[in-house]
Amino acid sequence: MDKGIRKPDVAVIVIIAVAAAALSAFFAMYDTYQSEADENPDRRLIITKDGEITGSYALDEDMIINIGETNVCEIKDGHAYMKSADCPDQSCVRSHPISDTGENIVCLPNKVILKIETDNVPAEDMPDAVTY
Amino acid sequence: MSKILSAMMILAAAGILLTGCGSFDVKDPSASDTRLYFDTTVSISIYDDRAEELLEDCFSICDELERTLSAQDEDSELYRVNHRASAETVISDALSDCVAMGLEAGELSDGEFDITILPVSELWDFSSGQGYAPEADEIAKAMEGVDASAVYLDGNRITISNAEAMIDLGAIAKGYISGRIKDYLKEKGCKGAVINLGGNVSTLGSKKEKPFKVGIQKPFTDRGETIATVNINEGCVISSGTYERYFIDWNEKLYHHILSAKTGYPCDTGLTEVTVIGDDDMLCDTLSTVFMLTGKEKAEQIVRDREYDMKLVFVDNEGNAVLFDPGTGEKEIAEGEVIDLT
Repeated sequence: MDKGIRKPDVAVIVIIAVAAAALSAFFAMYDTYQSEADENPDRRLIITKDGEITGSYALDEDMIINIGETNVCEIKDGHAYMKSADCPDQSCVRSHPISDTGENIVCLPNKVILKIETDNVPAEDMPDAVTY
Repeated sequence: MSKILSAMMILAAAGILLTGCGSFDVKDPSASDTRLYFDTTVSISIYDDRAEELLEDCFSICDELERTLSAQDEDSELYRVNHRASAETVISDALSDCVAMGLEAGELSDGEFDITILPVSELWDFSSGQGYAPEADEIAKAMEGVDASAVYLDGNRITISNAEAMIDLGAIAKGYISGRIKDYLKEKGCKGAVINLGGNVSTLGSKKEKPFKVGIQKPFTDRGETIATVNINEGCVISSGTYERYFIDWNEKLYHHILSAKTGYPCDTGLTEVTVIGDDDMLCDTLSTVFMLTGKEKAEQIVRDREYDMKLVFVDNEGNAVLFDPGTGEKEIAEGEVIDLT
């Protein structure tokens, strides 16, 4: 079978090259994602349910947040996304993770909104809890 | 065909290798949740590898203790004590500890605080923000049941010799519960946690090696607006204030929920808010109410006499805020000031 490089060999090489390129591109984008998240520390994730704010979170601390019995949100690597929800259409779960001011993810059936807001107070200065 | 197959395998191998070289930071996330118990919100955040599991355990504790300490829940142990068939009942450790604290608070406050205030507090409705004070004779009649001296506690045996007397643990239960949650988390070696149990904040460990920041609510403003922030590693910050629950009647008179057990009416000691910062959640919770009832001078004297290791923040009716440290005395607090206890 020693006939030099043949079409099937070329095909194999092309497939591997394309796959490698795709994976590198993916990681390159991922790294850009990371540095974007680090640049703007004043953004916060605001979670509302039925129109009421149920929580406000910095994006720099990885966290899993339960919202009522119906939704779970996760903050990971500077982004927030809907980890799970019990709604029928699951569009919130399929939404792209958010991290820029103004971006939001909505679970309409459960009236849950995740949104990124910029605060005047730097994230490090927000209290962890307030007495009342 | 076998060429394609080996190509696939090489691809898979390449994929796995490249992924291994990637920068995925597999760090266990912390966990946080907010649920409703004791007619209020309970928010807990845990900073630890076992966060989710510990979080569930904390809420199980809330669940269990609600069935013991809630005066409103008809299935609770306290409800059974208050609607008792005979004067003597055997009660659980949890209930006994809370009653003991309540009786001590009564003594500290010379009777301004009384654990059996329930017959009177039930007459007042602070839920709608509007209303009117109960009639004087209604209050007088209910005051007949306000009688802590009728409560005798001997370990797990409680005897209440006044048939009208009913116990309210509103000022004590939240502190007891957050204290139990903290004890549990400490036992488990939890690395960090913040508990906000109906406004009582309790902290443990640290948040990624840094202390916690706890805000003290500014009275009569939006929730979350603060007069000062406390930097704290481990301890509790608990406030009581007139702004928490009140109504304004048709004559524009404000009635708040901290009732004097001597009069049956809201207390008037010149204070809008008292915050107690210390280590013992149940004690700090109870004292935050007691000190609203006794006023500032008496509160400071009690802390000194009893050698309590705690600091107090008072906000008076004119909006002046002071920090009291038993060692160094009073110091004015400017708005936005940071009280560093680390």
